Amino acid sequence: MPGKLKAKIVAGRHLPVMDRASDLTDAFVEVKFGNTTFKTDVCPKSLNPQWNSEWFKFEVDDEDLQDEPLQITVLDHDTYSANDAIGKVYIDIDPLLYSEAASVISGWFPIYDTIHGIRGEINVIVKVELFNDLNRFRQSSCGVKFFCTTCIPQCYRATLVHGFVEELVVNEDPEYQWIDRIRTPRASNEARQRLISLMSGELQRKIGLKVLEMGGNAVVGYLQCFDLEGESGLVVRAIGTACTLDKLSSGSAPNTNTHMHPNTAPASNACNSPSKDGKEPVFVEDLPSSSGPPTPFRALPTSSSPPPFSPSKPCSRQSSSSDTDLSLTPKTGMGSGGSAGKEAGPLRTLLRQQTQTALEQREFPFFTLTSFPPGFLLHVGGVVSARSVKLLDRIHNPDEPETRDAWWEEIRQEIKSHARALGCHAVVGYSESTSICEEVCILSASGTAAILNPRYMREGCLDIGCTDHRFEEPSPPNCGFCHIPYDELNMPFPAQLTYCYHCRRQKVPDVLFTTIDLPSEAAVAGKGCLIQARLCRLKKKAQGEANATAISNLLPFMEYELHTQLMNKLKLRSMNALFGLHIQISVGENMLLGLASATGVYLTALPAPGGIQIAGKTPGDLSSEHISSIQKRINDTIAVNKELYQINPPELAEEGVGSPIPEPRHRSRLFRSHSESSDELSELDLSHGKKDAFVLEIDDTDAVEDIHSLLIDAPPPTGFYSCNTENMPGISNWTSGVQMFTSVRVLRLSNANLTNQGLNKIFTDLCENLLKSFYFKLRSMIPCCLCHLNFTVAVPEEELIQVTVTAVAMTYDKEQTQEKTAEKPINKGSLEAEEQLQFPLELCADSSSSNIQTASKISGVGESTNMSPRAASVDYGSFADRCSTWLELLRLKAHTIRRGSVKTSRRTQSLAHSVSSLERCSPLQEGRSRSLRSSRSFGGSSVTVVKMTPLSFLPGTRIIKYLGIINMFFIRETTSLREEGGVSGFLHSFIAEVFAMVRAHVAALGGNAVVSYSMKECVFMENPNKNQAQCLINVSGDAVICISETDQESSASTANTGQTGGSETDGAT
Amino acid sequence: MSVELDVFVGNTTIMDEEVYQLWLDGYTVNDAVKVRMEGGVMDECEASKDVLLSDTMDQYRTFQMCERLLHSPAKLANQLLFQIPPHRQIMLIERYYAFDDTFVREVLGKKLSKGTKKDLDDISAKTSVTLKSCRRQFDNFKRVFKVVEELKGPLVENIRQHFLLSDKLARDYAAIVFFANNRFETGKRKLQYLSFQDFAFCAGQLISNWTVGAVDNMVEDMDVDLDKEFLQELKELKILITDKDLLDQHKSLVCTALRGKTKVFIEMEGSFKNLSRGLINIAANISLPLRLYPCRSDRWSAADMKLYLTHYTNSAHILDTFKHQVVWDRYMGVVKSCIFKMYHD
Repeated sequence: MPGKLKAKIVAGRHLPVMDRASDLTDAFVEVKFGNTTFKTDVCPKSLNPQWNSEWFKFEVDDEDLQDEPLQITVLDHDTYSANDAIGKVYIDIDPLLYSEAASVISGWFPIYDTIHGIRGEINVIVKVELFNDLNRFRQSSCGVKFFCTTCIPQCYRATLVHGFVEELVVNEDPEYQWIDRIRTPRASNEARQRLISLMSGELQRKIGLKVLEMGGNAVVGYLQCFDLEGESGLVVRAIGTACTLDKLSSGSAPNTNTHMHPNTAPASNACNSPSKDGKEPVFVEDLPSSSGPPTPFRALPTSSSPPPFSPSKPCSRQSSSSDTDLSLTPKTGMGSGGSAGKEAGPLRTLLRQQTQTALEQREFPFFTLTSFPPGFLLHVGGVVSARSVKLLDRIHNPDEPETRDAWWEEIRQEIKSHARALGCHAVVGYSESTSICEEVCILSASGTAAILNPRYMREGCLDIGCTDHRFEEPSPPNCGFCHIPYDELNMPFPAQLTYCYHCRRQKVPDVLFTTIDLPSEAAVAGKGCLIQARLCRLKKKAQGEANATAISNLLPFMEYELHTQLMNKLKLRSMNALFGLHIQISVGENMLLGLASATGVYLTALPAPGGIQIAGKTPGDLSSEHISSIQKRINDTIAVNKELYQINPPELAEEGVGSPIPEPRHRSRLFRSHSESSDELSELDLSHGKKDAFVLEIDDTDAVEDIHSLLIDAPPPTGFYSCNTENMPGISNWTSGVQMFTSVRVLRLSNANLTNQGLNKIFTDLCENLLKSFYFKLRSMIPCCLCHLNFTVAVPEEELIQVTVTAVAMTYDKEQTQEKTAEKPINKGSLEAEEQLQFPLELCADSSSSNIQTASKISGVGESTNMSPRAASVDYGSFADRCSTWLELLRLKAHTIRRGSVKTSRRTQSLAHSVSSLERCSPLQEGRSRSLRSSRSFGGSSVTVVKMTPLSFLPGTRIIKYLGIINMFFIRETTSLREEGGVSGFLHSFIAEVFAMVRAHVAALGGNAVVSYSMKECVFMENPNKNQAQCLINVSGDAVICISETDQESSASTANTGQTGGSETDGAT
Repeated sequence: MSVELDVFVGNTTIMDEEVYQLWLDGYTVNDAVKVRMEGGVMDECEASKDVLLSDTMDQYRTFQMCERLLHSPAKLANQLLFQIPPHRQIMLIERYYAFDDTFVREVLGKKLSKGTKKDLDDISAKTSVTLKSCRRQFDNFKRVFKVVEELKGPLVENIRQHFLLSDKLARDYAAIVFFANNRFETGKRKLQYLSFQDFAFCAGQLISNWTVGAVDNMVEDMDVDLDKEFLQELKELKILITDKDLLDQHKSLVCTALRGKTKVFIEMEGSFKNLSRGLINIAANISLPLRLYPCRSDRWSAADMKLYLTHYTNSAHILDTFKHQVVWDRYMGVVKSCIFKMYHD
């Protein structure tokens, strides 16, 4: 009996008239939890009843507390006939179950009825007393915090990132049960709402248990989804990243409050660097201690003893995966002993193995996070994705959801192996989704292959950080993640590599596709922009197996085409990297829709993209005049876009580029496949054969169409920018204007015989028109940026295309952008300083000679680590590597020392982002950024105002408390569609109602904002002939209390770089 | 290919004041789009007609959903469905309750009944205010009337508090309620030149001086019903025209004071009896206070009128046998200011 739930019904207001005769209502309330129900007295003849009930007490298990919602039903008392229900309120009491969050839920909740919508409001107070809050939980996992936010939440510090957690539960869908034929739509809807509420409670509890097992205390990047499989059932599944989070006390908060916390990477770099004169080789003195703490290393080779790593989940796949591993790691480690193998030193191998092993111990080294503390992400390989087409069958035993589990496991394995092929040991920005049509289901997963810093994987790492970070590669923070993680001579796909345009030491690819957010420290030129690829493919109607095969045959072609479109659009905007890439493929009865969205950006570390060239394959077909006119249009567009997005990359210095930069060639970072057609597809070459990617060949009219459609995308009107990521590349000085919105558009295709081309055009126009509508509607917010534009497509019926968009418009300060630009030379100066440093050659030689033993010692460790005979060999490539890393350290050190005093002479316009990233680590600029923040106040002071945003922060404010996760599921149905204003009127009021209910719950928790808000599901069905419609909406987010930055400024006058370090800073200035 | 469904919902409800006005004015969506296009809004943000149509539809839907709340504006502030910043709420209410002077002129003093509502299409045709807008305005009048009918306390204050209107608008509504309640006819041809604001001013004067509320501020309908006792007392002012001595005395006093001060003295002197009779008769038969018209003459300037009335009022005080000084002041104070107001072109 570990918990007591108490509820009190205070009052109601704005109730509907239930008695036509008197124009009044005799209302009373039923309060239900589990199987216990209490009732209030009837409050006769009032539309604003005051019940002021006693405290209703429920004594329950904490397991139930986690699973069950508190159900409040408002009824109209009727003496002679059955009482009429007015509506219901479901209150998720999970936020009350952990001490740091809300302590009481109290406030006005909309009374919701699935047929009539909101009908008045009710004032309720709910409290929970937990009898034992010690960790004696067996089935419950009270105390594990959940966050939808895909970064380390503000006001927390991650001491440990444990890794991937997943779970799914299945059940029969009440809508498809036999009983549904005899009960009312209302009863059916309510049964469904309740079931889903229960299932997500259960799911959350189970995930919590896994987290506790791993030793964590929180789930970050929690992503829960529903699969409405119709006849075959209902699946609720969730993934997340288990972490151990430390709450930062309010005093220290400004220091460390954000996920881009400066003390993580730059500080350790400083610590890492040799003594100030820069002559002492660092590795000699460091080595003994590095082999000193032996546990982590010794434990590595044998997977049977995993102690130093927190994730202790035994995994059956261990052996097989480490097999593949052995074949891969040596390749990267040793295979490149030659001249170019700068990255292949033993130290690095060691590092990698260490991390890799740490990660290997997890079944899936996946992270649902999309942004990370600086230094966490060492290298990014590229996007990995996998899709699989499945035929649904009835879930026979809900308690054993093995089939669905196995499906996902399969996909995850595939993702994992793709990541390995890219020389990466982890997948970040990982997400999963499904698309269901009748009995066919496409499961998709995607993420970004990456190499992570091992520090974060180990227990207590941050405390003993100083012993670890020597293994860190001191690659400059603003370009390090661009450096290729895979072996150059053994590239998983044809790619064009060049030396990094920033540090000139490591190789970088010509383009980079990722699913994560732009790292805060990344150096970019100009602004980013939303890039979308849209595609429609008709398919024949079919059933069962044949249908599934048809779909899986289409998938690779769709991915290929989406990828080509993305690439071309990227070039057209003169950019070289995509962040936040999300590819959605949606299946309908007679077509497939593909929509890829990402934020394009120009990374200065990567080579400049070339133009696009048009060539006629068969010159006779098209006049050269025609081709040249198209070519001209393309060139013009590129020029316009360069201007528009202010892409003026720093010019290349002549020296130092090790290898000649050849004409870059198009190539793919996209890995995908789907299980039905297995291997051969995963090896599908997306690099357009041997052609030069920049050449678009026109061989038929279709190709002309394609090129035209490329040029259709209208740039946003002046004053607008758009992106689909957390941070808008190039804009960080947000002001307080925030407008979150959801828009839904459904198009009916009346034309029976449409071609693929025609459909493409329709679909593209639909998306473009939506964007145009947003710009127009939000024009009063100019200058403004649409952030986190999240498009979801669906084919609800044969001839319908539905696009749902949720995004936030945020205002920013134009003038401060200029101020920032003025600031840039300082930054440039420091770069120059770095370059001005001349290291005497003998220093290099010196260190290399003195390092011989060091290196061999290290590789000795490596040997013991991976038991590979090859590991023992010491090659000269590693010396080169050693020197270069060491030199790098020196430079970095010098860079920090001399930063303040350099003059600014280099002529380049640089990037707001690099400025802000430097700001973060540099105390010197702190004053500046603080002044930039100036006095900006956050909204009105009224308690009832609840801001919502899909981002993890609200500009101009600081989150001081996370109150718990909001995860709500609503069904709305109508049998009087015309009277409610048609489908648009119906959906409009439903969405408004959903917003209202989210806001009310947040307000009742004592919060004033929802961050990381998302609308996961919006399923709309209509039957205009019957005057009926039904809609299901699932939303989630984190309820928070945030305070205006100006308020806190006084309290935290000692605030320093930490505060400027977060994404919140981006909002602040 | 057609757009089956198209909605846009903001967490903070987005409302364009221009579209709101078009909606209030009873434009159809298509007409509103036309007006907006002509207004040049398309140039902003490179919008197309489709974009404009979609936006207008969205906003119209929002307004329709809000309309229910606007009927009892106090609800707007504590409802949960729409998150509307306070200054926006004020704007919404103020504009919703705003009315066309031409329209109100037509219904002022009429009974706010179904019968009148049936005539709205005629009024709409006459005033070229759309029928939809006429209905809204008429329903507003009726709603306000109904609510304040049952309330105690000052009329203007009640309206302001109950409907959250600005002081100015609340006063206008008070006038409308006052006229509707007392059914003072304002439709006479001779009064046609008077604007609603003229009447509203008079109503304000009457409310603050002649109603029950002017003496006792805790009775029901205090500002709507005229003070009956006062009306009785007014009857006694008749002595000023029935008593020949008083009349002559009054006249000579006024004439002495006026002599040489105005160009129209002769006329004033000549019409004194008529004027005085007119004024006093109104007092005796107050249900038609707007017969003040007799004072109007084409040749008198406003200054003349003012001069005349001042002396007319003051002279009565000097009359020894005239005992009704208090009533006289209460009466003439209002009449004077009303006449001044009405005495314009």
